[in-house]
Amino acid sequence: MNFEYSKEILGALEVFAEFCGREIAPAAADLDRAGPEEARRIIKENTAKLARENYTGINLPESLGGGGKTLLDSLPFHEEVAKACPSTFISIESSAGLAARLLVETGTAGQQEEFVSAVTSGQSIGAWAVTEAGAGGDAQSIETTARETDGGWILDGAKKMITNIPGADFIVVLAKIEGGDGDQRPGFFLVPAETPGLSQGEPLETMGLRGASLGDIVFDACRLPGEALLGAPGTGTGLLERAETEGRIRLGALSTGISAACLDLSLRHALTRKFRGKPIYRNQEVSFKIADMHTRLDTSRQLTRYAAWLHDGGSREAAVIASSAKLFAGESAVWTAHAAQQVFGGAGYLVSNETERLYRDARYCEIGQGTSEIQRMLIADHVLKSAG
Amino acid sequence: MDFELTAEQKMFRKVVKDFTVKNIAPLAENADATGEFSWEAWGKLAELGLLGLHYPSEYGGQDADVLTACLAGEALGEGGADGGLMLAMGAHTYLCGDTILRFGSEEQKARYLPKMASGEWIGCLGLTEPDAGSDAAAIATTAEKKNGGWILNGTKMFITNAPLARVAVVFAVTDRNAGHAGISAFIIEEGTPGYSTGKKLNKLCVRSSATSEIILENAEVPDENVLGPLGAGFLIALGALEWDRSALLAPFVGAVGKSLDDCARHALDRRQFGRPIADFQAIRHKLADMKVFVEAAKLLVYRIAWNKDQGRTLNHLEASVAKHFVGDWGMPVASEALQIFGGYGLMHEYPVERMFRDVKLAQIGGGTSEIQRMVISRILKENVR
Repeated sequence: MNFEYSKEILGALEVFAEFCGREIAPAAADLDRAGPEEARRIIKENTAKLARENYTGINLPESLGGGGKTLLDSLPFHEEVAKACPSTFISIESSAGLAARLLVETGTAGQQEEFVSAVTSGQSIGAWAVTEAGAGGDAQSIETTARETDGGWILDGAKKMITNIPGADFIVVLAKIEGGDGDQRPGFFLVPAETPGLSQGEPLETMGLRGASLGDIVFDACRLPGEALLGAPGTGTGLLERAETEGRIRLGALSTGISAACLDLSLRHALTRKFRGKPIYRNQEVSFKIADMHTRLDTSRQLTRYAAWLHDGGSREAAVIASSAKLFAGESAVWTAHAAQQVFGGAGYLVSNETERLYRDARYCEIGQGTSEIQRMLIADHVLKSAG
Repeated sequence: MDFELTAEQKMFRKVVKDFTVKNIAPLAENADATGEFSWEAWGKLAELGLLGLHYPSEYGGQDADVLTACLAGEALGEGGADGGLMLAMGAHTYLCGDTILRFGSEEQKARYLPKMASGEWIGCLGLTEPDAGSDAAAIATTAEKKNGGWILNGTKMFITNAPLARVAVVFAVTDRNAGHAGISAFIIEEGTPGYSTGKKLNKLCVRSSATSEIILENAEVPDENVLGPLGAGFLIALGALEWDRSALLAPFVGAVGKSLDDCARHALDRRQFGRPIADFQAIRHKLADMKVFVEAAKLLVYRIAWNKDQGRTLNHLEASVAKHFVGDWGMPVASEALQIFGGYGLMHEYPVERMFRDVKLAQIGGGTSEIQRMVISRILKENVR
């Protein structure tokens, strides 16, 4: 066992954290309140800046301009971005973490060169389209279909609440492949933005992570080349599970980033804000809340790192620990943001206060990539299977 | 960073668990119900070498590292040993024995450790007093220098193993004006004039461990029984904390882990409304929360052990987090585990009932959860740049 990151990682992290604090965090409040176009501009700018720091493609191969880091080694960097600006984190997560990552796994050399390299260099933003009106946590119920035609595919259907829509340069879509025998197997498809029949809907108004756009997609007889199918037919479910596990682990880092930001703000405020002539930190109601924040944050980090380590090693335990980490870290982020607002009292209720935004952002951690309820379902399934 | 256990560590954990299931778990219910220390179970621990696991082999130990000691504690819990036995082992092997191992003279180590490793002599550690628990500097027990020795006076409270102990490590003030630096440690053997123990206390949990006061009335302790340098008592006591936050926490995690298995099996067997209660989400989601707790708690405990194995001093922030988490997150999970068993969960014959009571100790023993949060908030404040 070894519970420490290497000196190299910690050294690079220090520089990166300073960068995020200087270059990314200051725009977070403006991004939260910006209109759709301004928000897209700031996100693009942040993505490009972070690409120059070798963050945007941190989990993608170096040969495609990425950082080539294992999930475990990348977690503290993800946390720093999330701490500075959760909206920027989630945009890059959808683009690089999910969409481009799948292309690395399954795409042709040409697709990787064109799309993945554009993501790692910060020029292009991708979207990951799984959720539909009637299918979220259960990917088996999706209704978007891919029909094989002479040497290509025809895609029909609609996706809901997809991050980076509108504005995505390419979309990785989960669809059902209709076999001749009526058999339907899920598969992923690459859909470039200029594909005829593809329309990216208007941005939806969200509670949190408002800087990242979220919208619906319609595929109306989108004609795609044969190589648009990513991976062999029928491998969609396995690819999705792998992506979800990885996505959940990185949402653990989003959660710890938000929690760390809330803890910092609370601690500094409690040490300076006075009540009856003394810093409010002197009250155990305040200092114990902050101690609880720390215990939750520390524990969330350990669980998330453990999940990442399992995933990097290809362990079959990775999925259940990823769910555990995402569940605990996500609920802790909401708990911590709520407690932080209490520490700030009336000031925390103002939109101008950072904890107000972080509280809204934190709510995503209990919802995105499978709600807390879904995670409990998955964990319980695992427990019962092991016992049965 | 790497979370892999060695093949040897994994194997040892399995050996201890299998041995416990077969030889120790069957003794647990009766020991807990009667509140009697089980010499039979104690003998089994000795047989497996757990009473001096990390001692050097020259003192009858197995030279194990701290992480292995944690895994042994966890495996005892998973195997179904009762909390009382595991606490008795912890107080004996780690709190008392390790203190002698680290600070004892050659003569002291040779005299006590082999007999402790074999289980023949039981040890205890006397720090807590009626008016001094986590505030160790407030202890009132005094030691006065006298020709060739010391005269100790005072009372120690809630001392695990005291009624059975042949050897006690006791802390007393040797210089009232020196604060922390005025506390010293002494080894006192049973039979020492002026040394006695109070009546055995009847407890909610960890019932088979014997707990009482230690009463010192002009107890005569010879010079050769001073443990470590005079005035080093506070540091010596702090050393015990490292074990308290690792090998003594691990059994709680193991016990909840066992309950998780028991609960899952019960949920699959027990039928209501024509189907197993495992079909109901209200039950399933309790299992999920238990699983998250067990996985997280293990990591926090292992981290303290790993740190100690690196030869570093205790990281007080991480130690308090581990203690805080195991106690404050373990207790609600223990309660939900019992809830899954419904009416059965209230019956003494179900191990989950005992686990539920035993886990309460994690919120109290060795510094309450409130003390942990005091420590955490103090360190967070100090770390602000």
